Amino acid sequence: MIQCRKIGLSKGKKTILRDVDFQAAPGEITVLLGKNGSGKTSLLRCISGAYSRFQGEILLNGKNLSGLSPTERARMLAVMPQTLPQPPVTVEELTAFGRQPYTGYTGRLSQGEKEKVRRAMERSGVLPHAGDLVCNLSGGERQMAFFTMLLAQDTPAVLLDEPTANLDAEYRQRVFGFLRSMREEGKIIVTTLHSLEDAVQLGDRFWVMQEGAMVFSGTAGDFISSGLPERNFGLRPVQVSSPEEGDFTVFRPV
Amino acid sequence: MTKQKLPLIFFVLFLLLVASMLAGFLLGSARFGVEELWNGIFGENRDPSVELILFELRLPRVIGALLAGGGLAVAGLLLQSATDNDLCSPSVIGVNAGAGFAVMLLLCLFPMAYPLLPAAAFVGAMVTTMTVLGISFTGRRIFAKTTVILAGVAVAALFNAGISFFSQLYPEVLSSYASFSAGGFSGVYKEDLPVPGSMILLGILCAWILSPKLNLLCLGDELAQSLGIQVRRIRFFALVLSSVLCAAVVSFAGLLGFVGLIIPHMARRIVGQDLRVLVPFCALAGGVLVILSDLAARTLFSPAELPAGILMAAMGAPFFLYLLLRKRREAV
Repeated sequence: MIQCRKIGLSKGKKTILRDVDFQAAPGEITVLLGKNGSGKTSLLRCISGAYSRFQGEILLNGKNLSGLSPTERARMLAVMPQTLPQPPVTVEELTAFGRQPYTGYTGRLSQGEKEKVRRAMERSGVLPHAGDLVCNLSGGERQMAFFTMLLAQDTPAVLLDEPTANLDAEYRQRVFGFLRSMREEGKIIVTTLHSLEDAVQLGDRFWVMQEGAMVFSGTAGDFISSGLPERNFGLRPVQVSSPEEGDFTVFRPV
Repeated sequence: MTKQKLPLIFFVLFLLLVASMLAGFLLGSARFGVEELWNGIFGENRDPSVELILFELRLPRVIGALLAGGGLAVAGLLLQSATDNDLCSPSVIGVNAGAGFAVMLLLCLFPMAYPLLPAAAFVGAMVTTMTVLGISFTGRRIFAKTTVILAGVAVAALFNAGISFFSQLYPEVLSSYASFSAGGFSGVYKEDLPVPGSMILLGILCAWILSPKLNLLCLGDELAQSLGIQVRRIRFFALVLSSVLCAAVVSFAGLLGFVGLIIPHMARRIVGQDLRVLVPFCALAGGVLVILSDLAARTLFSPAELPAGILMAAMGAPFFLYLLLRKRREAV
């Protein structure tokens, strides 16, 4: 369980987060929603440790994250930022980076660790690209490579910032598949999403941020009926029934 | 490049190193054969003049060139990794300007203390680079990789202005300063090497120990941190190491350019991006390049001798341009 209590963050005179309470449970996909600049990414960065000068406390499975060493934290929490780099390393090397928190000072992987790297690549389907440079991959393939690193890191909690941004329908479904399989493993998954359709399709619990404050928490149904989609996002939920896909929700401009 | 080829690549590089060291040892204005070398070392009737040339003049040169090349190449590699900038070289963090200014100050104000020139160069390089790093890592900024380059440029400009100022006031020191700034090994004797040599060897060892963590910096600060890396600390330590390596080299070899730029580029093309492999590769390849440059500098126009630094710049600049153009063609 991730628990954030009264998180406050300022940059200069500007308040980014104000008294944010937030929590995410294992075995659930927790979706953070909000307009650009509402503080979603900043909250993720406070949890991930990228920002350390914030008020309040963040607990992961009862342990205060500020008290953990960087390696201990890396064994508990994996991160996928919104903008992915294009490192000049192979997919296999990138996946092996995910095991870094478990290696000694030489960075050498034991046979067991190498096996975990191979299994992660097999599971995500990037094994045929193992020797390809990440910087030469397409956007979708690169995203898959970073997901593989995340799998190899094998942490109880995962933070993702807009994991479906700029992905086509096929890769988006693959990302959904990843997140659902992680949910089945009982991991804590926190993700920001821009698309409300994606959020409703994927999320178990919704948290909505507005101008640095948390303004809503509830299930998908609660969110849809709360009036927030219209007020906050200018979108109206519409229930659609299709013989192939069953009932689902789409959002149309108000 | 597959990992299976690595042992072969290192074996070839090691052979090249041995061959270049032997060539550096035996060739020059006085040439010796392997037999004379053997006699010089193990023979009963050793010729004192042969012994003097081989062991008092050439051996320190070859060892000095090996240390300087290895040290500068690893320093360049560390700098490029820590700043995530392929064009970064020791001069960017103010090594040359700082060492140059300290040497100029010594030559102008304390000419009697000329024997202290290596120490002055070392102190100048260290003080400047530490100032640059101090400026870059002060305050709340977490990500200081661009600040370090900008601070380096500003501090170097200040010291270069100082060098120009003193060279106007004391034009008589210009020739001594020029021989220092061109870089080379003609004045390197064996007593000059133990202190900077140990620093270089220790620095290369530390760089290798640091390399698994430095590898992760290519992922960007946020991801590297999420993998357990203390990004700011690792970057600072890499830059300090780089400064120590450069200052140690500058203290006995003067301002040698381009090694720190060329060798890491070449190495990445040959052995890939893994710094655990790149550090030892650069250390050996940098040594080979500088030994061969020094050999060429003293044999090409024999009996006249060029500073190795000039020759290296003459070879290095076109090679670097070639690399850039090739990269551009690949990009197109």
